[in-house]
Amino acid sequence: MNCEQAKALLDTYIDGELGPDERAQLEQHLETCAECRATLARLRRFRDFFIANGPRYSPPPELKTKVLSRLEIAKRREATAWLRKPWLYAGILLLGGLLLSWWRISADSEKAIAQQAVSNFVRAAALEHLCDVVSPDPGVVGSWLTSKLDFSPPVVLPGLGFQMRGGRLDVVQNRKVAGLVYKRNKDLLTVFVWPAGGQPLRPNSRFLDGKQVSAWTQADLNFVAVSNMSGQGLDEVVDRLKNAIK
Amino acid sequence: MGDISRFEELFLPHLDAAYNLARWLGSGDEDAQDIVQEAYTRAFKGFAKFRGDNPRAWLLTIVRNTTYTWLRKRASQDKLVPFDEEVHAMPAEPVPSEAYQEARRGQVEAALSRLPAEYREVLLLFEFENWSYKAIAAALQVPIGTVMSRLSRARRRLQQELAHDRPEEMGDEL
Repeated sequence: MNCEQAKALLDTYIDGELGPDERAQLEQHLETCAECRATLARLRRFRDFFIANGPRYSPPPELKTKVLSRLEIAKRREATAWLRKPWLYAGILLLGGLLLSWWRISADSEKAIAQQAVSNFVRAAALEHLCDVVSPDPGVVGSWLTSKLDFSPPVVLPGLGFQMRGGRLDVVQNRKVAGLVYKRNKDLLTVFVWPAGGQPLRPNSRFLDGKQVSAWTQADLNFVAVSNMSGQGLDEVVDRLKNAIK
Repeated sequence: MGDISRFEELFLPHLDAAYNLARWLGSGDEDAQDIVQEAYTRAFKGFAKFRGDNPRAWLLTIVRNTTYTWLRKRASQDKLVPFDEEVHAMPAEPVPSEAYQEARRGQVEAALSRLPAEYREVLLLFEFENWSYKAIAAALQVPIGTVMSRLSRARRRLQQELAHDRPEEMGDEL
């Protein structure tokens, strides 16, 4: 190694960043070269001088407070960052729309079912064909219906002066359903029953064409009760039926 | 989000180093304070991406980038960092020791301020922050050989600047 090569390596040598091979070669050269040794010593002195006298700037004490309050602001921003996402609002609107339309569709279908139950009720009365099987005995009516259908409708008495008149087959939403017929003087009550099959009815009551209609789901069966009685009496009858079915 | 206390634990101890770096790279006290605040905010936002085991190095890299962005913005507004005449007008005659020491520091600071920022940053990171060539190369995204030669050139330039300032004294000092 000559002096020129050696001098190019001196800084890195002082910095302790020279590879072992180059270091060995350089040290070999330094042993024999007084001039390079002097240069090395000068460089070391300068480096010591620089490290001893290089500026060290200290921040004013309030900087820490300033940084902390900036971080506080950043943290709060981050905490509410999700509020500033437009897709979030789009998502909420979409979901709201879906819920609304689902609610309207299911409300529509509930109304359609009630409507169908009422027209069945009216037609049977007009044709004076209320019952396919006539019997005051719920057991007889029940077993006849079970023989005609693919399920066993629970046939119970609501009390409150209603007598069992019999049962008939009817159609709601394109499926065969059981119709249980009760009478109390002029008050006629028909309860349509069919398996819920994953489409239960939300409990609801309404007036349709002057008839009271009440729908519910119980024991995996859908029930729609229709009556021509006046006043609000159907709800009480429905409560009795629900309790009796349990 | 609850990581703020961990963030503070990791990074607040390096506040002085952050400020020091901003000053070294050529910002005045006020700018350096703003830069440090900005850098901490950036660091906090990027905290999720921090995987390393060296928070100080990570923070200083952010401070470095923030400083350059800041100074570039400044430069387009009002030329460059104002030259501090007072610092440069150091008395040349020998003075008693404490004041003498003070004066020497002032000279080094003044000489440094005349160096390009990329020289100053390698000097600071290597001599005062004790980073390795490799760490500096990674932070600056340059080859190790560049760090090596830049450091050498920085020292030569600094020596020249100091000798130019006070030729007779540097002569026997060095």
